[in-house]
Amino acid sequence: MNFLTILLSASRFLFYTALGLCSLGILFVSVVIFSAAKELPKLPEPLSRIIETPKTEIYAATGERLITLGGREPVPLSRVSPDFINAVLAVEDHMFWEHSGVNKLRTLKAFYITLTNRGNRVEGASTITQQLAKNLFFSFERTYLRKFKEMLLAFQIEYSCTKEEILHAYINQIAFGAGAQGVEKAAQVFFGKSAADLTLGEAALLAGLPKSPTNYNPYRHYDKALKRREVVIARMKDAGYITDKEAQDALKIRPALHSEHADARTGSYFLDALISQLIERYGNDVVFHGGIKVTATVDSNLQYAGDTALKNGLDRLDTLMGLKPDAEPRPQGALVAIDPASGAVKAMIGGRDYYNSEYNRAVNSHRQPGSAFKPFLYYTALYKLNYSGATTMVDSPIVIPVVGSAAWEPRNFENSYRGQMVLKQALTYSVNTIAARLVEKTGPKAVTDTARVCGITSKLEDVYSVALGTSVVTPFEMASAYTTFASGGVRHEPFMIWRVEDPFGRVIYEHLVRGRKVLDPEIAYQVVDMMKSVIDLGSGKTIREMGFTRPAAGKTGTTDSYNDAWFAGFTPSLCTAIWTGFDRKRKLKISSESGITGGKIAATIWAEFMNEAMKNEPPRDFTIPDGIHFEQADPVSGCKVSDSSRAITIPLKKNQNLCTTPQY
Amino acid sequence: MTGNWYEPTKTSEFLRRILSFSNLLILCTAAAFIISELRFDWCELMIGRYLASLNSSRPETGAVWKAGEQSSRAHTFLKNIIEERQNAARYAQEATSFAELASGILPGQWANIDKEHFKRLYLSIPLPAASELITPSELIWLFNGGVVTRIFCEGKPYGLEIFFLNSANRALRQITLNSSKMEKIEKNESVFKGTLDQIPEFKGRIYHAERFFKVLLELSQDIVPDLITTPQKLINQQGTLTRAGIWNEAASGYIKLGFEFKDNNGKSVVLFIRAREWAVWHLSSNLTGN
Repeated sequence: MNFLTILLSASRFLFYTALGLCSLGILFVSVVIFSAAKELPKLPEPLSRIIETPKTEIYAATGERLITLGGREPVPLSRVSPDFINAVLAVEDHMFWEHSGVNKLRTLKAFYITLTNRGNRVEGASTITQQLAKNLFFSFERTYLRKFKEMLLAFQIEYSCTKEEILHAYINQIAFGAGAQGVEKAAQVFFGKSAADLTLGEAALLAGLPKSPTNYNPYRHYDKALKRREVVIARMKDAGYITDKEAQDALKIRPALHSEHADARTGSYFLDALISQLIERYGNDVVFHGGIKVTATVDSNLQYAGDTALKNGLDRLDTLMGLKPDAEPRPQGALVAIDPASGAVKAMIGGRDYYNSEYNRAVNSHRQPGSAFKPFLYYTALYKLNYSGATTMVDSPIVIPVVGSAAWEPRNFENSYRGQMVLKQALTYSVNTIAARLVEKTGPKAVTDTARVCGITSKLEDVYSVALGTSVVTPFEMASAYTTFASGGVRHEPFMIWRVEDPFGRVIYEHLVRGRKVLDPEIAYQVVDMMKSVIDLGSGKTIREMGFTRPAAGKTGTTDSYNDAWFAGFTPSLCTAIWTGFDRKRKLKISSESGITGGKIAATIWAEFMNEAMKNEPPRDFTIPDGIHFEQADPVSGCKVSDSSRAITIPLKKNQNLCTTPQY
Repeated sequence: MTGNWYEPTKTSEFLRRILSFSNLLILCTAAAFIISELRFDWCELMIGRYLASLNSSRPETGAVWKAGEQSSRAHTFLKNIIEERQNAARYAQEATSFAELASGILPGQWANIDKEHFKRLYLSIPLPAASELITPSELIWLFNGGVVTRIFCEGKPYGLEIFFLNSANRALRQITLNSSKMEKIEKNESVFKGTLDQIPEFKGRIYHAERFFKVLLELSQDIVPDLITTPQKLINQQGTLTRAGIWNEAASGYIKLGFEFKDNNGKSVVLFIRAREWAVWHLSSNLTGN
């Protein structure tokens, strides 16, 4: 046998073996396709349907759209920056317009590399169509079977849809990280603009993210994202989409990220609380996939004013405490504003910076209110003991025996005592010993009962010290409970949702404003009068010093250890509670070691907020109930005085007079 | 055949054999197969076409369909709420008494009723019972003072809450219609211990039950439901139905019908139901032969 014969035989053997193997391979693949075909997921028709999920929209009471949830509206290719489309094609699939679902040469190469396991890596060669199939139907588990199914579906997508439809579906469903799905959302989240307005630099940065949205998240790894952008721009240049100069120019620009939409979070404490409430009521499916329209109670202007006032106030607090801007921890705060006439929550701020801490202190932080709790005590005393603002008591050291426990010996904040005074003065100057005497007479349970009917829902201890605010409550509860005084004793449940409609505009929920009279209006007015004096002359007079001149009532609150500083107060049309303090127990103190009271910072935040919130409303005083008459009284004796300059005005009920017997 | 085969001895023979027609045909076919596939992707298109033909029978599985399910669940949930609401609204609008209103709006459901409809229901019950719900003077002020824009009824486990709302959705007045109150209204509204003769408003319009029902059943079938609006009352009543009467006055589009039942002890009670005025005129004219 000569050489040629051997060569011929070998060639023939190889050729027929290859042909046979190919035939077998084709047969095998056909069998697999036939068996796998029936189990492949169904392709939606039209493909764009998959992207169209109705969005839930939440509107402020003032009409602005606050947020959209869940829904996706596909943006047409004509409204996407061509730079972005080119960038995606260059970096993900430069043969997109040519192939029919699979880039065969790249696939074979990837298959070979994977099989030979060069560099221990799995080579990827997915086209845009394959990626679309994977994103729509499959998990991210890397198996050969998944890849095979993905490839089959890519063939079907290519057969059933035009290239434009595929690209349209791809760019509208792809995940960019930070909760941004689809190019329009991504452009809004990262750059605060529409996808049509993306510049080359921005488009290239976005196009680089889908490879690894977490690792390239520009908010966290800006430099990594820029590196990835370099790759995208280089590919765009190689593919001929841009010139060398354009590439160089684009690389020089560092795109500015949109600061207000750092991620998928709502950016609002109010919205977080509202969405929780919606989920509790309707479930996740309806909230994120139902396309409902929610009209919230929040007033955007007030929310903004509250946010600004709280930030400014806490910055002032930092300065007062001598904290550097980068100091940690920094004091926090919360602000809740409620309309007393309805219970509608107009503003809710749960911390100084949402993106720094999402913890909503307005509704979740339970803190001691200190003297801000005293209005409930004074109401109870006036109601139960028929006292008035002119009833006199003595400010002096007091020891109250407690059964089974050590005696209670409350002291005044200033550690000094003023002797006899009328109750109006006692609340104005927040005298603790007189508050202790009152709770001794009324009993703590009556005080907690009053607090509860007013709207305090946290557990309150029936102990004497509750009168001085030792039981913890939230700023939301305090604002809500104070509205009962502001509305003359009528309780309105606080609420955040006015109305919920289905996607067709049919109402599925609406809030009815229902008031329930829970306090005697005359006594409530007497307490309000005392609280007005707190702002005019007492511990809250900083408010007047800050130029807030409208009729208003309120009360400061500072805990013994200066851990919490409060101011809660109201005008006839808006009730606002402010809390300041550290998240963990830590004193609010000035560098010189003296503590910071509610009148020092919380009251200034209140004044700044209320000045802004009320600026478009005419000043209005509290409605005086029919049975109330006013008398001029001496602040010490509670009797009529000849010297009117010393006199204070006291509202009295029909059956009440001045100059009653002093109470001890 | 193999017996004739011989080994090529020359290169020309070797080449001749290699480039034989059959070899070239096989090679060209294989090459054409591969090149045409690379060029025209017919294999992908064939598979794509095949899969597209099976599409409708394939399962709706995968991430996108899961998201679709969530939308679908949300849609169903909302649809149920709306349907319940629409049912409640329909019941409310069709209710001919407060009892029907309360039974039509289940706990958790709500419906708006218009002022005219509330007026009809209110005027259909005797004044003492009506006054217990809301005094006429208060109602006059609420309805005619221009403050009430709508009436909102909310089903509760214990009955019904009715709210008179202004344009700001503020409840100006609230009526609680619990079971005891409804029973009271119901009694006032529908039962009289005695005979039809003792009620002067039926004078001259009392008929034997047999004649009454014979004429009634001869009427067109679409009239009967407007005459016997609450048949369950009559069906549930113990005793023998002896006579029926027609009230001499219409109120808010309705006329009362009285049905006298006699029990085994010979005691009579009269049950009232409210029938549509126009239907009663039909019945009445057939009963009197006019």
